[in-house]
Amino acid sequence: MQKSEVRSQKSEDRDQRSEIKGQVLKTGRHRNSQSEIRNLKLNGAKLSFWKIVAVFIAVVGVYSLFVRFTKGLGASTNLSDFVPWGLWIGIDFIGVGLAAAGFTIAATAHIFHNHKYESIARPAILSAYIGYMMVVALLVIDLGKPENFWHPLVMWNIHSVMFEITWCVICYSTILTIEFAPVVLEKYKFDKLLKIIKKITPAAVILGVLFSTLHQSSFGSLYLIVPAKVYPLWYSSFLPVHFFISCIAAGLSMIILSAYLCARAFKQGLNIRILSGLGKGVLAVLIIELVFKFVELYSTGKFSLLFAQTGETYFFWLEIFLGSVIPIWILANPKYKVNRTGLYFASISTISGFILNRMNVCVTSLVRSSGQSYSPSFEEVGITLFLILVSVLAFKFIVENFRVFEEKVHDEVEVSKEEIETKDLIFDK
Amino acid sequence: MVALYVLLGFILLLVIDYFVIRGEKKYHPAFQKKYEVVEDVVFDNISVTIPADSYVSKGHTWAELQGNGLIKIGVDEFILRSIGRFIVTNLVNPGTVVKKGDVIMNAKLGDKNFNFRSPVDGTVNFVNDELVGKTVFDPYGEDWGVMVSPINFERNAVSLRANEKVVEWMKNEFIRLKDYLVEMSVQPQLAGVTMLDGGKMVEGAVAHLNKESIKKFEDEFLTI
Amino acid sequence: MSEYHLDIDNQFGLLFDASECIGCGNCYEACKKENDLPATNPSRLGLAGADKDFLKDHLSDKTYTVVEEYGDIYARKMCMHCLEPACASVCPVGAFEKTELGPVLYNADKCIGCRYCMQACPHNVPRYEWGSTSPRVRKCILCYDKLKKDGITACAEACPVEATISGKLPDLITEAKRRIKENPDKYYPHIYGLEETGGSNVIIISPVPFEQLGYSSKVPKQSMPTFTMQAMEKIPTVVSVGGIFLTGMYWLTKRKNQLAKEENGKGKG
Ligand code: SF4
Ligand code: SF4
Ligand code: SF4
Repeated sequence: MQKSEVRSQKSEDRDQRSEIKGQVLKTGRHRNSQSEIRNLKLNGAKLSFWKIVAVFIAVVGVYSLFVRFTKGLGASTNLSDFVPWGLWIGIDFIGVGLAAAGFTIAATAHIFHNHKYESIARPAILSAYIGYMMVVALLVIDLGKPENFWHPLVMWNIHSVMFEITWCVICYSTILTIEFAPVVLEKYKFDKLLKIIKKITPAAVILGVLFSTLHQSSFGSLYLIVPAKVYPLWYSSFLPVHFFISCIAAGLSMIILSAYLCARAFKQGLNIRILSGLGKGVLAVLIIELVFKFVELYSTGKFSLLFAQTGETYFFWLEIFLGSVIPIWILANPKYKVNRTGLYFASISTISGFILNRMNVCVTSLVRSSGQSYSPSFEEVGITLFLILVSVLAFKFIVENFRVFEEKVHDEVEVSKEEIETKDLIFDK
Repeated sequence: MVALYVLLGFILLLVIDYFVIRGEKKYHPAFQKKYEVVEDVVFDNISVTIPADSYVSKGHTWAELQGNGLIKIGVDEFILRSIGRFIVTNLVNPGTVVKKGDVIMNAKLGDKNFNFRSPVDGTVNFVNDELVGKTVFDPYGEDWGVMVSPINFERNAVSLRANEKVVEWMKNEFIRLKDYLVEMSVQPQLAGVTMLDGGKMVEGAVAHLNKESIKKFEDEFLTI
Repeated sequence: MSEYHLDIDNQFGLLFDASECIGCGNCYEACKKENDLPATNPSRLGLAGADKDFLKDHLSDKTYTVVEEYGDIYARKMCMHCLEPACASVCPVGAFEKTELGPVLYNADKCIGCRYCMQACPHNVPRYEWGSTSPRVRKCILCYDKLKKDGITACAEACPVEATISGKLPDLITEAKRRIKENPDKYYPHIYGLEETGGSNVIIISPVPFEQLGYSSKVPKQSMPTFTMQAMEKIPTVVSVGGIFLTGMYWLTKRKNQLAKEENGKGKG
């Protein structure tokens, strides 16, 4: 497969050879994008294993959705009066947390004007956007009365964290739309609208950061009201702060991981300079988070719980090791922090720890007080996988049809012109 | 327990994907150490490799970010293929401030001289003394040239290529090289030795050119 | 927390006295009848079962109150009608409401079914109609309509021994205190629901410590919504400080880049 790909490329090279001469860079660039598109298609046809899996998941997902909407939550989920929230809420937490990259990167690029990260702003915003859409869809499916999903818009209870989250998610999705709109508008050449949107982008980004901060932390606030139910290792009056800090590390790691996934699926080159820059950010956040967590455990006198022989303790330590210790060790190691394998494992490990943390807060920590163990039903898993599949396909579709990845290699001719002052320092002839 | 299931599900997806990629006989991006450009437009079935995550300059020198913040610089395999078995004669002195495009390495093959240039701005910290007087065999490993502490790598990096972009560009470079060699050889007064061998090039063909042609080669392929 | 009716003098409530309760189940049956709830205990369903099989029933979408057996003590479980109910404070659409009379009521037309009320209730009271495709949250409503009309709840009316009495909350508290004071040997010296979760309209007295009867002793003394408010009240600060900081950074970094560019331009020129 690979060989034939190269061959076809080569014959094209031959045809173009005569024109190329002297203008290699210009034509070369053009050709790049073309061949990239072809590669995308080729890849699409090649992913046969995942295609089969996708079809399978789609069938299971549609069936599960059918059961969910015709038979109700009781028949389709393992939720009960004692475990009113299950897998879906956990996935919502994880999805929103991993989408945090959207606002972190948007802020870095557009508020702090760090141009280094501009090239990943679009993919980050796109994945955040899709992530949010998925979470909203899952939340609506999870509602007992999905037909009433619009009620929070008109029926207000400003004391409810859930109300705040709903509004933040709605506002932030709108802002993500504004942030992502240029990608669509520039394709269809709506220049006027594009100009307006470009003008309001800075304000939108600032608002976006605020909304994200609020609702990322509010997911933690959801559990503030159940101090007697959440296992003390996870309960903290600083839960919102913990949620906020950890979502930044997880979001940045998710960008790193998705860079690998894109490299794999779209022949998109890895940019180790940007990835290791993100790695530095992850490292800083993880250290802050770890120190904060333990200082807090110590000051609230929960230290002894760390050594209690309970299931919760093991889960907690696993979370700390996967989500903090291992990635900190990798990212602080000069050998691995600029190494693609190292960064890959650091990101996976951070995300694993994050997944564990969110699932621990919303399931593990409540098992003891609810007195009932819960494991998701076939339909719950099916719908979850289905939504993940739809998100992946949506991402793929948009990447293939819009300019999400920017080619950031400047034409060297331009750059070098001003910079070349060749001095033969050592070559004396 | 659910927490574990979700975690295992996530990891399982990645592991399966790894094996799917392996099954397709491709590299997983996380474990790819180098890229291969299979290129028999110029030379006969010689594959050229590019190290993963190195930034390659227009002058065929690569720069690799080190964990300690330094940048390691060396020459790429294109140079080895086109020039042949040259000997490194000189490296820039440690402590020198170099700009992007400044010469950092001199080499010679017979009586022909070549200069290789720095892809970044910075101060030279270390040089690979072992390399002086020797032939480059392992351009991405043992036989690196100098280490530089960069001044504004961010700015340099936007004009450098890495990974897939290098692969694309490298293919073009070989086409350019072939065109160049063809042009040189149709002007017999410029060509030192005949190097066309049934349409394919002899490895190290450039070294057979005369000095004027080599000057042109430097302008075309080695300057930044 | 002014939107809750903390003026408790006119609120109705319920006093349950576990020392007096004989476990007859009259309240259980009366509640089912008053609220049109289907039978859920085995013998009523035509299944074989012991005499007092209602003791084995549990709270559900079809059962608002149960009587549980703890040795020779019986304990009732039901909604406590908290003075500052967690369920009402967390509901995003305000489907739960603390009425002026005391009962905490639920409005199924508003509810979106997020089930946060169930998660948040410190007493694990609200139940869900899991089997329905348009499920409602179900719990004791303190016989709101009957209370308005007759001033007494069905369960209190049915109780033969004054183990469950309903009335104005201050009177109930006085009564509870009187019973404990007059019979100190018979009672554990604590009124459950007076301080728990900041107080509730249902109060309980018992001969033994309350956790022995399945009433959670971990329930905080503070009113539940304050836990959330601690975080929620920081929002305006976070928004304003964050907004100013970000806007400031935006201008600063932009200016910095501009200056850098000009500098560069000069250098080149
Ligand atoms: S006991 Fe639970 S359901 Fe009843 S009022 Fe209090 S919080 Fe609401
Ligand atoms: S389930 Fe209904 S009543 Fe309960 S919190 Fe959600 S919307 Fe409110
Ligand atoms: S007050 Fe009414 S609804 Fe509540 S338990 Fe008693 S009878 Fe049932």
